[in-house]
Amino acid sequence: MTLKTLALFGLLLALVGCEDTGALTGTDAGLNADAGPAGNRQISYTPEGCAYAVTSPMVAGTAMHADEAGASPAPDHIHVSWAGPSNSTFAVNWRTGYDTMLSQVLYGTDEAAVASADGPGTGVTVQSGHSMVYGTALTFRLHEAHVCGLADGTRYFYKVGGAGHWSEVFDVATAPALASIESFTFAVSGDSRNEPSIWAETQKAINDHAVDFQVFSGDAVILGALQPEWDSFFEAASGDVSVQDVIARTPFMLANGNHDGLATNYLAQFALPQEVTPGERGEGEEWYSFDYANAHFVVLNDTSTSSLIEGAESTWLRDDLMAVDRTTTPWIFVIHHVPPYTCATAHSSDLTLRAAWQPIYDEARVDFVFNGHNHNYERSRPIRGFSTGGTEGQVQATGANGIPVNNSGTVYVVAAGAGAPLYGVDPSTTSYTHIAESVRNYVIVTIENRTMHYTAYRLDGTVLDQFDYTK
Amino acid sequence: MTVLVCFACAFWAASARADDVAQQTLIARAEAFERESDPRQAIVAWSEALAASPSSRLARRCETRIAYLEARRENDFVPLARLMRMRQGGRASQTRPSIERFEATLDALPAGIVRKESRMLVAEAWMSSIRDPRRAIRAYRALLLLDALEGNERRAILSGLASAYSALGDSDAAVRALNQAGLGDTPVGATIRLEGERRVGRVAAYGALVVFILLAAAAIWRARIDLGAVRKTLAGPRIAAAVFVTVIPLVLARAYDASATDTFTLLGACVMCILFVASLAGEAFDARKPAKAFAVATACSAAFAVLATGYLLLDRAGGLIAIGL
Ligand SMILES: [Fe+2]
Repeated sequence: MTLKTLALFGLLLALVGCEDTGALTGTDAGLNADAGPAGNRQISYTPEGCAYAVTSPMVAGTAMHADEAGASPAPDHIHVSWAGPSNSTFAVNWRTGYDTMLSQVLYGTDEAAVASADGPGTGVTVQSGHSMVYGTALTFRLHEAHVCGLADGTRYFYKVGGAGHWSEVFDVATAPALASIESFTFAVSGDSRNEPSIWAETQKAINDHAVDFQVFSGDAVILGALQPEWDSFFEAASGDVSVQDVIARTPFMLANGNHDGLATNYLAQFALPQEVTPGERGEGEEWYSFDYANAHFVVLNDTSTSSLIEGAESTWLRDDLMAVDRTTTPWIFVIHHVPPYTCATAHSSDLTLRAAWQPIYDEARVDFVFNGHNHNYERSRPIRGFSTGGTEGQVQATGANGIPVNNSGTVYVVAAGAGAPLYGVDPSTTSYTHIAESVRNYVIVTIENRTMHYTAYRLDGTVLDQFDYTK
Repeated sequence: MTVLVCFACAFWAASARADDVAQQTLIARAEAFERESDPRQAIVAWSEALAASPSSRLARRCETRIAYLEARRENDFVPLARLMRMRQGGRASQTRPSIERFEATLDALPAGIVRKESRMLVAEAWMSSIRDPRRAIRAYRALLLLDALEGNERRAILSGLASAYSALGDSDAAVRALNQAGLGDTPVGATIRLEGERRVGRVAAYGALVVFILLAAAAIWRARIDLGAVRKTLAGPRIAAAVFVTVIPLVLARAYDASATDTFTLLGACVMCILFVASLAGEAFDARKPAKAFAVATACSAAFAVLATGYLLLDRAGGLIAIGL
C-alpha cells in the first residue's frame, strides 16, 4: 500500500512539474458565471460595410460598442490582421479594463486629421466593433473592430477606443489590388513561446524591414489558455520597440500550434478569416486562406485530430488550392506548425501530415511551405511525389543554391525558435535537406511579380540563407 | 463640369499610380544597394523613393529604412558598410582571420549603434561560428564596457557570456552572469544551470540506481526460490494499478501532442519498472518485518525521486524534447 501511494505520488510529482501538459481544450472561458456588463456568451454580426460576418468564440460575455469608458479605458495590446480581403479591409484587436465598453476604431488617410479627431468628421470615419470577456479573473476586456470598403494599396491611419479615450495613432496599409504585380514583402517566424526577450528581438529586427505583413507558424505561447503568457507575448520589448508596436502596424496572420491549443484566448485575440468548413472549429478560424497581390496564402491547423486533418481540412485545402487562378496568382505559400520534412533531432518529420497534405501540395504545385515546431532553421530541396511505394519525398530538379527549377517542386522551410529553446539539426540523416542550422532566425520574402527575393536572417543580423528565384 | 471633375480625378489617379510605379522601381534599387552593402547609395534611393509618393502604401518602408540607415551614419557610413558586408557574407565568411581583422577595426570606431552591433556580431562569431569561447568571453566583456546598452542588449550579452563560460565548463561563472542579467528563471538560464546540476545530480542518480539494481537483483534471487512471489506480484489488481498510473498520462499526453508520446512512454516504462521491482521486493522480503519493509520502501522512493527529479530538471530546461525524447 505504502509503495503504491509512493508510486502515485512520484508520478504526480513528475506530472505536476511538467508545464508541457494540459492544453487539451485550452478554453477556460465560461468557468465564471458572472459575465458582468456583458450579455451573451457569443456574438455574431456583420460589421457595417463588410461582406463577411464576425462570430466571437464562446466566452464568458460579449457586448457591442457602448459609450461607457469605465475605470481603465486606455487601450493596449493593439494589433491588426485580416478577416476579409487584404486589399480593402483590416481588423484590429485590443485590450482595456474590464468595464470599458468603448469598441471603436477611428481611421482615415490623413494622419493629422485622425490624430486630432475625437469622433467622425471630414476625412475621418468611425467603425464600431464588439468586446469579449473570458478567463477566470475577468479583469480585462478584449475588443475587436473591422474596417471594410477601403481603397487598395493605401496607407491608413487609425486609433482605437472611443470618444475621449483614444489610443495613439498607428498606420496600416491595404494590399495592392488582387493579382497586382506590385512588389510586396512579408516576414516569417514561429515558436516565440517562452522567451519574451528573444521574441522582442525578433520583432524588432522584423520591424527594421518594415514588411507589409507577417505570417507566424504557431506556438506563440507555452500554454494558449494562460492569459499572462499572451500578455508577455504582446508586451515583450527590446529597447523602445515592443511587439505590440510592431504588430499594431503590420497585419499578423498566425497558425495554431500545439502549445496554443486553439484556446479561447487565441481565438478571441486574433481576428482571422472565418469561412466555416463543416467540421472546422474555432468559428472558422482553425484554418483559412487569404490573397495578397499575386500570391495566395493558406494557413492550416495541424495539431488536431487525424480524422479532421485527413478529412474536412484536406477537402477544404484541396478545394481552396484548386480554385486559385495560377495565371494571375503565380505564388502559393502554405503555413502550418508541424513540419512534414525536417532533419531536426527533436521532432522527426510528421508522416501523417506528409501523407495527407503533400499530394495536395503536389497537385496544386505549392511553392513554399513554412513550418515551425522544430526550433531551428531548415530549407529543403524542391520535393514533389514520393519514392516508389515509400513515404520519402522525391527530390526534384534543383538549381543553384537548392532552389526549384521552373516550379519543379515544393520547398519546405522550418523557420522557428523566436523564443523557444533551440533544437539540434542533422542534415546528414535526410536526402532532401539543403541547409539547416540550429539558430534563432526569421525570414524576409519580397515578391516582385514572378521573382522572389528570399533571405533568412540570424538574430545577430547575419544572413543565414539567401536566394533569388524566378518562375 | 462633372465631366471635367471626372477627368481631373482620372488624371490624378493615373498620375498617383505612375508615382507608385516610380517608387517601386526606386525601392527595388534601394534594396539592391542594401544587398550590395552600399548604405550611402541606399539611403539616397530610399529618400528618392519616399519623395516619389510620400503617402503610398510603401512610404513607411522608405521612412523606416531611412531612419535605420540615418541612425548608423557614423564616419560617413564606412563602418556600417563593413558591418553590412560581414552580415551579408553569413557564417561561411566568418573565419578566424576575417573576424580578427574586423574586430581590430572596432576600437577606433566612434560610440554608436554600428560599434555596438559590430561587437555583437564579433562575439557571436567567436562563440557560434569559430567556437572559441575564450575569445567570445573577451568580446562579450568588451561589449559590457560600452555605454548606452538597452535592457535587452545587456541581457543578451550576459546570456552570451554565460554560454561561453558554460562551454568552458565554468558553471559558477555562468550562473553568476545569468543572475546578473536577471535570467536565472528563464529557459536560457535553466539550460545553463542544468549543466551544473547535471554534474551533481549524476552522482546521486547513479548511487540511487545502484541501490535499486541491487535491491532488484536480491528480490529476483529470493523470488527465484519462490515462484509464487512472482505470480503474486503480477496479480490482477496490481497490473491494473500500474496500467492506470502509466497509461492514463500517456493517453492524456498523446491527446495534447503526439510528439510528447515518446517522453511519456519512457516515463511510464520507468514507473512500471519501479512498481514491478517494488512489488517483487515486497513479496520476496518479509514485509511484516518493519526494518526490511522500510528498506524496500526507501530504495523505491529514492528511485522515484531520482526519476521525478530527472524529469523535472529536463523539463525545466526544455530538454525533454531537445534530447530527442
Ligand atoms: Fe510546437
